[in-house]
Amino acid sequence: MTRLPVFTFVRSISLDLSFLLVWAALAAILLIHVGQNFIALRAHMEADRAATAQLQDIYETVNIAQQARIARLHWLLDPGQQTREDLQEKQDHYRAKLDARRAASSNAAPPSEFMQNVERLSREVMALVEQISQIPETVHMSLRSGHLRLATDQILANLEAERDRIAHEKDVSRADIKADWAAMIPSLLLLSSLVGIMALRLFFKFRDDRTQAIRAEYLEELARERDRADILANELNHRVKNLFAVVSSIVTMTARGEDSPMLAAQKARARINALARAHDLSTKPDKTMSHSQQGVAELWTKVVEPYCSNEGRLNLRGDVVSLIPSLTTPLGLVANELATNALKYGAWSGLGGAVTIDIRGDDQGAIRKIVWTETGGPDARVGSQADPGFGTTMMELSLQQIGGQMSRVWNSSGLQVTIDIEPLKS
Amino acid sequence: MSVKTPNLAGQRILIVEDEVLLAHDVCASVAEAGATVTGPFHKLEDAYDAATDARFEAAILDVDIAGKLVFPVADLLEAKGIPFVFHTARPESQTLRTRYTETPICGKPAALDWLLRLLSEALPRPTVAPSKD
Repeated sequence: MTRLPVFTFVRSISLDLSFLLVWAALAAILLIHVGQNFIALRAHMEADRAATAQLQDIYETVNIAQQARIARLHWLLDPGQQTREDLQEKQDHYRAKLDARRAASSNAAPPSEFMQNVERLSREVMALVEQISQIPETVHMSLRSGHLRLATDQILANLEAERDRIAHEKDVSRADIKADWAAMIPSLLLLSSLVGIMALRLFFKFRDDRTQAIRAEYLEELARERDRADILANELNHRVKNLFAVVSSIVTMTARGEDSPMLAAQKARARINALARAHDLSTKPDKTMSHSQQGVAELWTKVVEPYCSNEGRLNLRGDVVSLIPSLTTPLGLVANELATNALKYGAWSGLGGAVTIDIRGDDQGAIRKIVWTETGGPDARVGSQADPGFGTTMMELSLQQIGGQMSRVWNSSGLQVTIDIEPLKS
Repeated sequence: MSVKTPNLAGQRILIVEDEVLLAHDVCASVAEAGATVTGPFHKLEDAYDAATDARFEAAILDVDIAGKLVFPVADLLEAKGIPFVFHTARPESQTLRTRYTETPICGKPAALDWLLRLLSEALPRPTVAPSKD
């Protein structure tokens, strides 16, 4: 609908002060014009109605006069008692009508000149009728007849003259009414199109404002999303660089603790691969980049699994504890060291041994304790008491990073490592 | 390519780094260069206390210390006239470039030799000849 040229035009009108002033001026002029015409129209319609009423009065009076004439003819033909009574009856009827009309008009205003005229004529008719009834029978019929005809004809002529005058008036007021309408209709049409244009313009304004508001909201949302994405990218970049720094340190420190470059490379590589597995979890797209959907249990499984030959040799139990990003690197490294050692010296070095990992969190779902228990392997009391190399240092350093402490017990059934982690200070 | 490890013998170096493993590595490198390590400090508050005592000749500062910025410590060192080097994963930060125009910035990850070289160049050496090249 907005493609119609009229709508396009209306929409292009700017609702500024000059437009509003021009619109208001035009509307005022048209309104005044219509108003004046309307007042004149009402006056002319009133005149027309009055003329119609007057004409009706005249017709009634003429009617009575005619009846009086007919009564007179009757009386002339048969001046008996019956005719006199008929005449009397008509006389009474007419008087009652006259009285009623006088009562109706006297309520509103003093009788107009016209009413006075009609009344006078009516009275003349009455008097005539009275007169007729009083004429003795002895008077010659032709004389009576002539006298009365003259009187009634005169009255009728007067009435007709009056009727013509009023009919002319009515014609004039009819013409006036027509002229009033003719003058008013163009103004009315202009005024209504003016109002229509304004209404349409306001409708478009309202609609455009709404569209604008929705668009602005959308853009704002988009900008917010972009900012958030920038922050996330920045944060991710920072994390990656930090991780590379840690990896560099691991390589350097691993090399420091080993005499054989080949062995150092293998160890460093195993640690880096473990970190990669751990970060598989934490770098999954996660909107807040804080609490991951993945838990601590998944992290340990991911890191440790490659060292364990089949599923039955790794048991996980305990609480569901969410993995926060700062835990990923330290816990990943610790898990890797424990698994490496289990494969070298512990439960996974032989055939039947198994490892149980018990994970405990607090009410808030934060990690508090991890217990690594080896069973079914060689007697731990006999074997190596602890890996003297960088592995142990790295575990201790990693746990220090997250406020953790490690204690190791070498049992006959195998090694048990208990890691206690302090609650995060907020 | 490889840079000769500078000699930091007799110097005491403050190390502020919240990544414990990295701190350990930096400490080892600093010790290998002959210097004594003050720290490492993993918390801003501890680092600030150490900077107040100022029993060291130079410092290596990580910028983001567990979510807090190291600038109070940097300002304190600057006020005391102690040279330091920033060791950060965000070397492009506008704050660093505009607020500490004279301070060397070492971007992570970096060869620690490079870090130590920046540090040794920041140290005042009145007795040594001005430049190799």
